[in-house]
Amino acid sequence: MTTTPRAAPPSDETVTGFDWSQWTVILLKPDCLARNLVRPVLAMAAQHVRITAERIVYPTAEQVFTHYADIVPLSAELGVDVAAELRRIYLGHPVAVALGHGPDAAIRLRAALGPTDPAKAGPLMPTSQQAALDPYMALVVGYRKSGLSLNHIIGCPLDCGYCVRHFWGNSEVKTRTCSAPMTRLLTCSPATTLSSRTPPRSSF
Amino acid sequence: MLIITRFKVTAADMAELESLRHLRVTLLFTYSGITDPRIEPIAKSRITVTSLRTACARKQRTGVVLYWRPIVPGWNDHAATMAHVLDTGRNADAIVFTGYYYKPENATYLRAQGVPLPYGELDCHRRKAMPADLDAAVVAAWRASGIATPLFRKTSCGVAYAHKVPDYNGHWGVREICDICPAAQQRRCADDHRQPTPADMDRVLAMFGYHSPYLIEDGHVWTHGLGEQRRYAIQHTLRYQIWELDQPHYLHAHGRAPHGHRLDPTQADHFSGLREHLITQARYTDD
Repeated sequence: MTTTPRAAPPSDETVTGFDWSQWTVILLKPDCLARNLVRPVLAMAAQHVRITAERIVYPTAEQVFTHYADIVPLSAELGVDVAAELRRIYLGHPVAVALGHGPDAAIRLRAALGPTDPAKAGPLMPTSQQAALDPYMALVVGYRKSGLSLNHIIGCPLDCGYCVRHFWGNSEVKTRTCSAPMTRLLTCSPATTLSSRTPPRSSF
Repeated sequence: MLIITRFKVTAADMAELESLRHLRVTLLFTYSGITDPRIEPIAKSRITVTSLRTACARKQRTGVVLYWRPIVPGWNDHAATMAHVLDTGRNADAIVFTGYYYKPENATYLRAQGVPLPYGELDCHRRKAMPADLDAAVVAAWRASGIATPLFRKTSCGVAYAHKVPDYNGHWGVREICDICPAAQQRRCADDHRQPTPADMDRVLAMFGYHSPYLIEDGHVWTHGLGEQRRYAIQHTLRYQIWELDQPHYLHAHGRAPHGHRLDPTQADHFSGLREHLITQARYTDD
């Protein structure tokens, strides 16, 4: 999802005299509401921008597709039917929208959130080190026979004779590092919890 | 949610875990009883045993499992060692035992440490080594121990028992591993066990967007080329074993390296026939 503020709307369509770089719309998605995370997420956002308004709405298809206009045409590229996913995730479910205000509101909040595309989330381990990892070691296992795995945390100070890291030439790494941020694990849902954008033309 | 640890678990940690309301938490304490510091560098520490005791004393809704692994000939299969580990698990909800991932890299490392190799050079395999006689010795030691803690061969069996629910991996379909399982748990799994229909398989494959030929047999469904993570997603959804043609499970050696098991050669023929059948079916379907 884009984080770059769009150009100010033409004066003949909406209001004039606004410095749109001061404003951002914060959308808390249905999974965020379902998990009762509205307050903690907005509290986090409030550390970066001033929250001036918030409300719960049931978005229409038109609003959803306008908000996601940049990714709706990318079904083939993303490997999912984006329109169908957006309908599934949003329609009939409540979302929270809030207005954030402050200098470079969208840019700063966007930076605080980090990438929402897990594939673009920066690795914590230097790329050069990742490249040297055995492919199996680098693989983030998100689904196991029992429980979730934290196998992206690599390195151990112990020298156990039965250590499985011997298989991948990794037993010499004694300091724990992460080969991927936790967001890489959250691949089961295309929905992310929160997005921040400049207000679309149909702003409320 | 499973937490596997050998480290410090305090009363405060347990209070935190016990306060959770929407997660079913199981703590698995890895404890092997290995005393050789060249193999087990934390052998002298009492941390794991103390943590296990703390957890057992305070568990109400948190499952606590003694994860007895790896069990390796010569390292921790002496009768006294086994009796000690079993006694350590006296107050846990379950004890789960398993073997040792033995690979050439381990052999190299152990040799450098001066540790005698537990298995031969040719016994390396992608699955854990747990020869039949070692399995029998573990079960015999458990029966002789007098403890009331149930013993399980599979992690999910122990976890499921700790929460009084049927096994989420459908191991009831691998009936020979259930001989040591408490009768009440066997009933839970038996009641829950339902062989999926082709419509079930088609629905679940479509739901996940996966593609695989499949063949439904008694206790398991054969698939091909899905990879572990996808297979497990289907397995958990159906609570029925989902197997890969290229990595077949042999009778009495489910999930185990072949070393130390007498494998029935007619099973290998059966697997070859299945492979041919399913791959032909996949080609036909693709056309």
